[in-house]
Amino acid sequence: MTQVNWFRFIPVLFFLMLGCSSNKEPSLESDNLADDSMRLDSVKSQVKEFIHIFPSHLKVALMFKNAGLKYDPGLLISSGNSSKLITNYDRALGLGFYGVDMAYSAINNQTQSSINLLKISKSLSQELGLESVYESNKYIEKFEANLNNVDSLSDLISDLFSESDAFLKDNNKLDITLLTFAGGWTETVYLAASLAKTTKNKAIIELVGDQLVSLNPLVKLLGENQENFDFSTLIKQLTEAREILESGIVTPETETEPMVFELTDKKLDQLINKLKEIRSKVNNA
Amino acid sequence: MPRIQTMKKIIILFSVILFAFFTFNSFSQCKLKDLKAEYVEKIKPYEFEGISAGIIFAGEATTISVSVFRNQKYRLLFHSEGFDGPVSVRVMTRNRFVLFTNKDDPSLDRYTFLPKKTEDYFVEFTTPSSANEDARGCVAVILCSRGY
Repeated sequence: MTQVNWFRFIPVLFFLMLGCSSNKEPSLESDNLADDSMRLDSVKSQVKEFIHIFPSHLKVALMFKNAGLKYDPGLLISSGNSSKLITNYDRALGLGFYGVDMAYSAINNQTQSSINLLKISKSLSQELGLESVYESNKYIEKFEANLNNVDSLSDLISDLFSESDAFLKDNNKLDITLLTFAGGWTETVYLAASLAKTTKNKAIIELVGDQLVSLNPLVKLLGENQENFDFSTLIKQLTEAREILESGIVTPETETEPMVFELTDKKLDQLINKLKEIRSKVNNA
Repeated sequence: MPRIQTMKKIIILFSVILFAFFTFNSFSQCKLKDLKAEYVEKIKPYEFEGISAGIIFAGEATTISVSVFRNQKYRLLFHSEGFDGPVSVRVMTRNRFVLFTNKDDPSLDRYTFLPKKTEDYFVEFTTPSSANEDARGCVAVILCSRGY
């Protein structure tokens, strides 16, 4: 009787097992494991996935609140237009606007407005394939159960933002992440600049200037990730907003000292109008 | 008897392969969701703010940038897995002024700071070389903050 040499099958078994792990996305292994260069390219492509860590919109909203930013419901983006957003580009941008408005409302004890905005965010997220983030974490239910506790609501919003961000990046939807961040950045600076104009609050104006820190990496990453979307108009608008902000630098930063930043009413108007242009994609949908 | 010995060898080899398979998969995921879940308790009393992660080859370096605001309390946590030796970490300003290094103590996995100005910091990971040219692992930076 011929004896079977089982050792012969071990390498085959090993490669079959590796093949079984192909449900990962992105896959580390190419279909042809013998093709080293393809495999190396596959891994090297992941090196590009190190993405700049942007500030959390919630934390920025809290910084503005601590600097004296008051709540003005008249400044929020129109919630009635969310159902009119039919492209993923507009939905992702809208998710950023509504997300910041939700955080801004929640930290100012406007819980009903906040939960309405959460429901809008959930609806937009579902259209963008993020429904599992909401379902698995039961954000709406938790939110409704904590309406009287601002700290809990802030924690939930912080978790929602970071879970959504992780989900999008883990699933190679960096373009959606960037659009959402761009919407959130625009909304944050719009709210702050609008209220800075009426209150002349220097701390808020300084913080508006500090938001420049996110713009360079944002514009750069938008430029590098246009396979599915054309970001040229958005890049142009954000670049123009950056120029207006840079015109407010009175003394540039040094190695150890921060910049001195001021914006005249005229420059604030220019900035607000530029941000209105970006918001109009959703506000005038 | 030889047949039993052969079976034993197969079982041992199979176990080794299984171990290698799961070790490979544990870092090859390098998923932000999993890393966030792993660190969400470890970062307390700080609060999670952001994360960036990816896979790099042994013997290579990569840099992850992060925006920080002046006068805010921050902590950066450094994560690495899948490498044969210690991973060196440096935190630098745009002008490559070194704010933190684990050169003298590779077990240091965090940097706590309060920036004087709003700027981008750059976290540089350098991974140890390996005889296996295909060796690679996961590195990540977790940004957390406190007391806004």
